Amino acid sequence: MHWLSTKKAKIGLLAPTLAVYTLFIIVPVIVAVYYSFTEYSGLGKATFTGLENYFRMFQDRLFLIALKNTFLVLCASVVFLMVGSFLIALIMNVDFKGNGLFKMVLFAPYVIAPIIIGIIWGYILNPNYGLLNSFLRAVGLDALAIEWIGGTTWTPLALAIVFTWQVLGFHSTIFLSGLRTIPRDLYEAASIDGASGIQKVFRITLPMLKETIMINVVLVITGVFKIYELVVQLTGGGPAHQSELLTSYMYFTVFQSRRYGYGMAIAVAVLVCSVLGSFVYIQITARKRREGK
Amino acid sequence: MRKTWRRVISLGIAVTAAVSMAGCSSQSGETTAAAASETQGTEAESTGAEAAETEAGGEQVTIRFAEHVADIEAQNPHLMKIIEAFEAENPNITIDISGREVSEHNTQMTLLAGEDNLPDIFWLEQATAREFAENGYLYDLTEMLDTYGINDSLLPGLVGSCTVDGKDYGLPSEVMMVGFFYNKDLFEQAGITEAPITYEEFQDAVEKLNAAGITPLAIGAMDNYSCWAFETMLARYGFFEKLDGLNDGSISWVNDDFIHYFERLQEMRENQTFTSDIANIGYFEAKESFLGGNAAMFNSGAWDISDFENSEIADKIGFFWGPTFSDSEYPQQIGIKASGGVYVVSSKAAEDPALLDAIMKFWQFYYGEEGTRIIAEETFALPCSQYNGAIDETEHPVLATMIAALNDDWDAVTEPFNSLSTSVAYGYFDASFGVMTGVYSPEEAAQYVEDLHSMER
Repeated sequence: MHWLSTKKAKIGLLAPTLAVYTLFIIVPVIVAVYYSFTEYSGLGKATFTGLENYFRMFQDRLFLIALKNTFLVLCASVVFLMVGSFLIALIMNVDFKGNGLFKMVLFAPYVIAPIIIGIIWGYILNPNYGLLNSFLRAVGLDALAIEWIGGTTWTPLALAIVFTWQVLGFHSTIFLSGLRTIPRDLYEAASIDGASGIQKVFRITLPMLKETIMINVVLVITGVFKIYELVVQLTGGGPAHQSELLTSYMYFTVFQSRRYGYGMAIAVAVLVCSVLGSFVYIQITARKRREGK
Repeated sequence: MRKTWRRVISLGIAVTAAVSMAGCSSQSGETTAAAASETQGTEAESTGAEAAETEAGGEQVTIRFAEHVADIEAQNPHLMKIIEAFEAENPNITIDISGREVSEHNTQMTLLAGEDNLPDIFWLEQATAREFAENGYLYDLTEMLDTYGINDSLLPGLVGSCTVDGKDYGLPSEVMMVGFFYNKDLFEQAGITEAPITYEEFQDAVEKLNAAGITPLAIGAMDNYSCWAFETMLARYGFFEKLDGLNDGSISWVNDDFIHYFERLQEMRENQTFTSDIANIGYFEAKESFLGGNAAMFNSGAWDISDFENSEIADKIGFFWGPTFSDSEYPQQIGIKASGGVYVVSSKAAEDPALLDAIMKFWQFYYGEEGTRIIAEETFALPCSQYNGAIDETEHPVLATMIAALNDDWDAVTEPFNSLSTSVAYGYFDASFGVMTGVYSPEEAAQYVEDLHSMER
């Protein structure tokens, strides 16, 4: 197998992937960046306008609303998903009857098309006839029967809940695979030393899962910046674009409002936020690791 | 069925009166005088037919056709019937039709234009069609429309439905008539004897409906384009009179008249005129609610005639143009009676003479006698061409109602939407729904549209 380690072989093996990646990722990103400096309606020639689209973003109230909503969904999702998927992974890591079925049911939403998930949750969260509010009213909790979707206050939280439901199984599986890599003798030794279950989680499990946690957080960050179908199906971005996230607002700007140049500037902003968010988080984690925290 | 109840009305007479309809090429919003015209297309039609036989007579031709509805069979049944009849008559021509929901369709057409892979014929909104034409994507139909006698078949008000620099680029896809449909039974239940005309009467009707526990108006903000009847209200606050000023920046959207328009929407919201879940439903859910007898009024247009005719409340549906306003100095007795979106031919398709010939032959059939008969008699929609057949008012009450409205003495205007760029038009829709859902104040709504419009000046 020595021939596989030669420089030529490496280049030969990498070339097809690199070509596809360049063609479908790098080139479109470069094209998007180019158009972000232009005024373009999708037809005819684009007019170069420099940084105008980027300056416009900070004066665009709807962009700022979408940015705020995305940030809220991100924060809520990180909390819900990190805590939720870790706890579920702990349960999945225990041998019990029906564990397989439990895993399957939990993972199922991840393989359902997001648009279907939007429809399902639309029936659950609709403030007037939705299952959730009907239930809350039936048990006398009328005060909790709030405007989950369609209003301007609770929609980001509702989106975070639905997103969490959708990807919980996936993130739990990643945690589970992390848990399976932790040597059992560490727990046995801790038990001999009289450590409680909680102590084992905080002293052994979590420190040993640092890499897994980092992967999960990065996946949540990038995942939130890709939420589109849920917004479209649950709220249509409304009322009056008050529940848009960055991606759905970018889509509206480009394809309905036909402001391609400005839409591409928003797309670049989404990319920067996503990459920057992940990068900063990885840097912080890496620094802590170096410092031995 | 007693014959005395069967008042047969002539669509021919009816549509002749519709000559006052305005196309997008006319000065937007200008009311146009009615002028009768007779069909003179026989000679031209035969010329076109001969040409078609010469060009497309032998080889097999397939026309790729893209429509703006997802379920063509259900939403545009006349198209399928016409295509079927056309293909039977022209076995060497096949129409390969596909449909997508309107916003998805618009996106698709723009993307395909970029790829230089547009369908041969397709539907476009008027403003978008003009932009496509200016960028060379569309075929100039001016000469062909005369050669094939299509202009002679069309209702005079629909000739020149989409022109750029005096050249025709589009054919009317529908007669755009929009307003409020109402359920006569529910009105009666609430003690309303006549459809409201003034804003005060409208508010009074809403009050009575609410008091009777009936939802006054079904409307869904999730489909922001479903703003049609409210566009007429904007026109009554001087939209067309201000249009030039809005475009050159000498008039702002934040003016007293437009603020009044948005204030009326705010009052409607405060008076509980709209469906309570307006923010969580779209146009189709709102329509279902109206047809299910759960709301007294519905904001829509002539394209829904078929659906209304097929509903259980068909004979209870009435129509009015929407409220008039005493605080506006502009013409009030106006209604949107014009060409809606247009069918266009891609310039690439026109490079192939046989294909172009087949296309024109199809349009000739569509707007000709047989196509018009299918539209009027088999699918009960308003045809864009002159038709001299008869229709049974008892059998088709909604169609009869719409024909009566089409022929009333209210002046015709175009849809404001067609006079604005896509960005500003949808901004206006968003602003209107923003007020209806309580997101914007009237001033904020006007400012929102002004900001969008000012970016384009």
